[in-house]
Amino acid sequence: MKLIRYISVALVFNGVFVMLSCSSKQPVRVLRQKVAAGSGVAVLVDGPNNIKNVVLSRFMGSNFKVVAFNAADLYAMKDVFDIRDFKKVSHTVAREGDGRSLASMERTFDNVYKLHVYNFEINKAETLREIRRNWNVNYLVLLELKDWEEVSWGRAINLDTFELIWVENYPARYNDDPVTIVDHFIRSMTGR
Amino acid sequence: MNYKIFPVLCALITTLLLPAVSHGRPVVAFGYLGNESGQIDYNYIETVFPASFASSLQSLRDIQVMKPDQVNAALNRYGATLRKNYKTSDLPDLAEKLQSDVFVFGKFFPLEENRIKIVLHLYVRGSRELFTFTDIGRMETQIYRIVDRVSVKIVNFLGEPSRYRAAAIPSGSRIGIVSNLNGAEANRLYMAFMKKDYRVLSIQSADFHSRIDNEIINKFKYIRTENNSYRDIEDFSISPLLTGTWAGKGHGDTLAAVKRIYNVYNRDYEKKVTSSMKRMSLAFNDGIDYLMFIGFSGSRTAAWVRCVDVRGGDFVWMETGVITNDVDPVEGIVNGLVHRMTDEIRNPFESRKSGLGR
Repeated sequence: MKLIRYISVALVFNGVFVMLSCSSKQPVRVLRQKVAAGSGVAVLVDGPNNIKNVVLSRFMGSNFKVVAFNAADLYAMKDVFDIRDFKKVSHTVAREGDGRSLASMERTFDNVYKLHVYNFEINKAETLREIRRNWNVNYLVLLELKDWEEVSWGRAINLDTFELIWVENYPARYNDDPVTIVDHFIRSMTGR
Repeated sequence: MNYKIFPVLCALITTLLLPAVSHGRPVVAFGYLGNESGQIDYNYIETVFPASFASSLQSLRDIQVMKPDQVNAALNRYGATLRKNYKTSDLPDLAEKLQSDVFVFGKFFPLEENRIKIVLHLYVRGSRELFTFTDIGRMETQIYRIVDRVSVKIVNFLGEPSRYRAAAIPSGSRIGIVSNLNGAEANRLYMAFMKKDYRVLSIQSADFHSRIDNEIINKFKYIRTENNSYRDIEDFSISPLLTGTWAGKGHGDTLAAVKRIYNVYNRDYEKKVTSSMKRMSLAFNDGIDYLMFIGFSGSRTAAWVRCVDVRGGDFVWMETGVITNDVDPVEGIVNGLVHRMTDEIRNPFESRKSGLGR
């Protein structure tokens, strides 16, 4: 009897877990505007180097004007900011056992952090505008193929409008490899 | 089952339930709406409006209200009187004396063309949080509308989930989203907005990995802009920044730097936000309407949202305690948010008025 109870509880937990993990692996696709064939694209790839070459060659093979671009060209938030610095100052001005003064300074540094996020996004928008103007790039494409055997994902941004025009989560099928996945993404974003 | 532990369990459960039961009806105390015009002709508004808000509120929800005269009488017992203005640091003690769950006070400014600007502060005793919003309306013909509109905002803020929305955020709006979701999970968030015809901008979506995680997103839960804000009470004056003849130059320099940081990034923080929003608007070629912050719980089944009108520079929408039972919780939460952000704001007094032939 006990065993049956344990099994039913385990099944319920398993069901909830499967439901949650399934939702994160379910395919997602929205195409608001097609990425025009022959346009200039900057492709950022997160994955092993050999896969990066595969991605770029497939885009070039599809007649895109691929612009050499590295994700490191866009500075990352973690490179310029570390919240632990703020914590240190907060503790410096706080007196022992006085939680309220600590909270007060932490709020001040939270505000600095928020302004930093605003500035980060402003600088990024300005950088994207420069990329559009100086390198004649129409679209920024992000592809993550680190876990291509499970789920890969991509996004395309129109640099004229800063608008996200394509997003897709693609769970790998039985016969897929990096080449077929990248080809699928290219078909998906161009609406072919 | 061991029946000996049954009474112990019952006692434990009863103890746990007691605070909720004994809490009873929430008490909302109303202070003055201070006259900032300098014209004594308007002084009557200082008590008329708060009393009207209190009556309206009572007709909408099962709450206990204290009008300004009752608040004043309660404070007299402590040898104090109700003032027109309070510093944020005064509020915890005041609400404690009144034993009110919420203390509402504010100020008004008559504007040109017979309009009035009302700034209302709602201090919540339990959480030590202060919510401030601004409303502008016409004086003579629309006084009852102002009272209704403001009362509805108070009721919604006190509701579960807690909500505030200044106006509808129509589909087709261009929105930037900052959240604690990354990668494929963030795509589910963007998809849900894009499917409802919102234009999602490159804010955070141009990153592979965002630094904003489940902890850091909570920094955005409190939000301060020029006219509206939601914050917790803090008071730097209680920080003992000690100095004396024992202190060297280094100590003095540190204190001066801390004060400067506090003044720029806390006391005058709203100015910084306004300037950031203007710069953001420029950076996006005037093509960004709203900046949204969405904080999801670790399981993604609960969330809060804050939204700033980038052109206007003010925070216009917030919801706390949004939950879903959807199989895809991210999409479920966003669908609920989208439904409410596009929805016209209902006036629950409307049916009653039509019934009264008003």
